Amino acid sequence: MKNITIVDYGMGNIRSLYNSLKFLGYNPIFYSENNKIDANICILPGVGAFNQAMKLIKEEKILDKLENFVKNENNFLLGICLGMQLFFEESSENFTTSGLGMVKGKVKKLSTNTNDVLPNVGWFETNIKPNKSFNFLKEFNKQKFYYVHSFIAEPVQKSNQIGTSCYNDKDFCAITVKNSNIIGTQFHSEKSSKIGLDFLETLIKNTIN
Amino acid sequence: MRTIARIDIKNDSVIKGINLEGLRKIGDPVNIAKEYYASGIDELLIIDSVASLYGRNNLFDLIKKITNEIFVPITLGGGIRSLKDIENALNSGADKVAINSKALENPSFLNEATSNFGESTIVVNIEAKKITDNSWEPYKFCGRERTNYNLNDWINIIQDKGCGEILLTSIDKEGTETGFDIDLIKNVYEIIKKPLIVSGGCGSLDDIIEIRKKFKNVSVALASVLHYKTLKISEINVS
Amino acid sequence: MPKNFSMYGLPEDVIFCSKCVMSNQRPRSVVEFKNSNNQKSGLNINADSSVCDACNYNETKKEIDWEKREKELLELLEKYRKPTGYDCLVPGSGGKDSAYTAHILKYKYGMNPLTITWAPHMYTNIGWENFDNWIKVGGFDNILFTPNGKVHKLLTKLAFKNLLHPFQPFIIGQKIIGPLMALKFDIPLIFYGENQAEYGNAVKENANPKMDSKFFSNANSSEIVLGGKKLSNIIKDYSFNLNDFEPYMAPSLDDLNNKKIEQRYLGYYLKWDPQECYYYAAKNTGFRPNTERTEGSYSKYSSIDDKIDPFHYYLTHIKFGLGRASYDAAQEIRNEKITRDEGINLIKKYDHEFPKKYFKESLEYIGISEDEFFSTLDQFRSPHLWKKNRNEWKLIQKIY
Repeated sequence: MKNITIVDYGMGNIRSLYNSLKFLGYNPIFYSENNKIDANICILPGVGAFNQAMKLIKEEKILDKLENFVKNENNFLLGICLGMQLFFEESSENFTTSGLGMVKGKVKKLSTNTNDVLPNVGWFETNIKPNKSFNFLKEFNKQKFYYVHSFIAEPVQKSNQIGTSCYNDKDFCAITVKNSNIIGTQFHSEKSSKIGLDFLETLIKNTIN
Repeated sequence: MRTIARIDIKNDSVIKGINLEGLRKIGDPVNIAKEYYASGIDELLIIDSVASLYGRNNLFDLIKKITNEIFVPITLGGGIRSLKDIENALNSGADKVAINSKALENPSFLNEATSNFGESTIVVNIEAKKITDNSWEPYKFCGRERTNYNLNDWINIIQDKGCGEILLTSIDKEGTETGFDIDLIKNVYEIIKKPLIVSGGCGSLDDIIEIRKKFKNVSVALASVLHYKTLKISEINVS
Repeated sequence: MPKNFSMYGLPEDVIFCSKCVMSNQRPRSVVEFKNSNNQKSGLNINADSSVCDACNYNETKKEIDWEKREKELLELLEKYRKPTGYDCLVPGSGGKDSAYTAHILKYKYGMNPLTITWAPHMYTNIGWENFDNWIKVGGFDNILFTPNGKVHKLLTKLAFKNLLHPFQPFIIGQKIIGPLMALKFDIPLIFYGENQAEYGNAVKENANPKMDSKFFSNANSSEIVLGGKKLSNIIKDYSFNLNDFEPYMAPSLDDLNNKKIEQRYLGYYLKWDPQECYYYAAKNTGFRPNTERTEGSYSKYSSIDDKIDPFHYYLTHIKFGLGRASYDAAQEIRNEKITRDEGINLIKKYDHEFPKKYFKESLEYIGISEDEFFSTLDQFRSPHLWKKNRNEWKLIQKIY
């Protein structure tokens, strides 16, 4: 059974992620069990505030381990929701905090208009365009995934964005990628029913070299 | 708009009342949850209907069972009274918690809850009863006790203190299958700044379509129509 | 009084049923208009099994061939059904039980009931709405009988002071109005909901679809005792006339027999579940539960139409150690809605609750002061149930 590490730094519904990976036949291990990333697939989840998450990641001394992990092209990092946002340089949530800095760009609030209802919750159609390293994901183009967020990431380079969804007629980044081994989804594939499980499975299968 | 299945539980049974009274048994919670998931429901709302009454919460085991095989968002409510309760709920596999009575007794609890677990994790559950022609009152303990709050004041308080979503149940309509409480929703719609889930009264597909037409960003929670098989989830999804 | 003296003739040692939460202190129904000394016999709890008669009866309900019973009902109704005029009388308030009884008889079984209501002392808003809906949404002809307020209040007051049982005149009137009206309107069949035997009167009473005639017929008006006082004395002391007490005087057995008036319990023919009656009434007669839980209990669908109800149940708590939560819980345990543990929890939480909401109104209605109320109350605390600890009365021999 394939090992997959879930980085449980203290925020995020790791139980659902654990359950879905198990359901798919993998062997999910929590980072905190040995304080190591003991697999070549690693998932960074997250629910809550950016600044709080970074604080915890630094406290747990995970920062370096993640940076080293992605240096190896055979390792694969998936970020989900807040986890995906952490890839970026900084976020203005609560107060400006630096992120992991793996992808150029910033995280900001989805809308500043006080009439706009936030968080953005629900099942939304996601556009996935053909791309270099994760082209196998385009079979999921136009599928609906489950989103719940008030902030979004804005990659500076177009090549770092392969998927979008829409809020109030404006597109936002739904899937960010870097190189061939870093990918983040704003949506929760582990909560997107069967299509979400398919997505996870496809992703994992295609990264196993 | 999300279609959410609301499952009220007492001991080992799903139950369904009318106007939040009555404990008629419907069936096994795990089977029912699985059935709704298989039919394509967007989310599950699981409420322990007597947690507050007996001062206990014991649905954590049930949530563990359900989340082994169900991969849509799950909100757990009923007897969530402390940060530890929220932690236990999330550790069992719930994605969100719904808080009612505790918030009414101590609104600051919402500050604590949202700062510890993230706003999107916290749903405030409001059970509203009509008092006069255009005022409603939130009740606590599953529609058993008054609070003497005005509903709109209460909504402003909770939005100020912090919450991710608002679940609004019409005590007057729930279980009756005679349509959602449009008056109630109209009454609060202008001041609501969070995603709203309305619950109580759905009797037909037309009722759901009416909500879709009249209100933006409003999701529906269904119970009687699903439990008594008046409506099929597949019908709702294609409409 | 000896330390463990039991005031009402009930057993000194309180025993609780091992299945439900009722105790041997639960009084069995008596013929109220002969009740002069408040002496009661209590619910029987089997010495070996510790199970009470009501629970035992409940078990037998599972063995009953309900199809056969329904056939009996159909045969009975066949005999009485008429194409014009009223063929049966349903006494009731429009609460869940009478709502169910009247509606199912009319709309499922094709009878034409006249409903007759003995008015509550003081209608609650929800009580009035439910009553009104019963008639207008459910769809029935109804006669609301409100007794002479002066008489009723006096009797209620006497009953309170002499028996701590202010509900007595209501119970008497409610039991009599059916046969009284049946005689007046020539309606030969009266239907009630459930037999009180469901709650622990003698089990053998349940084998009988008919109400025991002792409850509603009386040959001799000189035997009547109301509110613990002989009727003749009431008339003398308060300058009333005999005909002021018309509604409290049961018709004679002879009159009833001559007109062949029959009384039946629907609960004999159809399996009775009070909570299911609630659901039925909610769906069919516009019945709504109370807006908040009733004082002294957790429930919202039972006995909600009279402001004096919580007052009455508080007094049963004083006399027998059993408040409203005990009664509600016992019923729901038997019908498998809650477990015994849950029932005990609810009793612990609510049984002793003081009925604040309508307290002042109830006092006014009865015509006594708060001081009088509390001092009367204390006179009825049986030593085997109540001990005074410093200045507080404590219930002893509790279920928890």
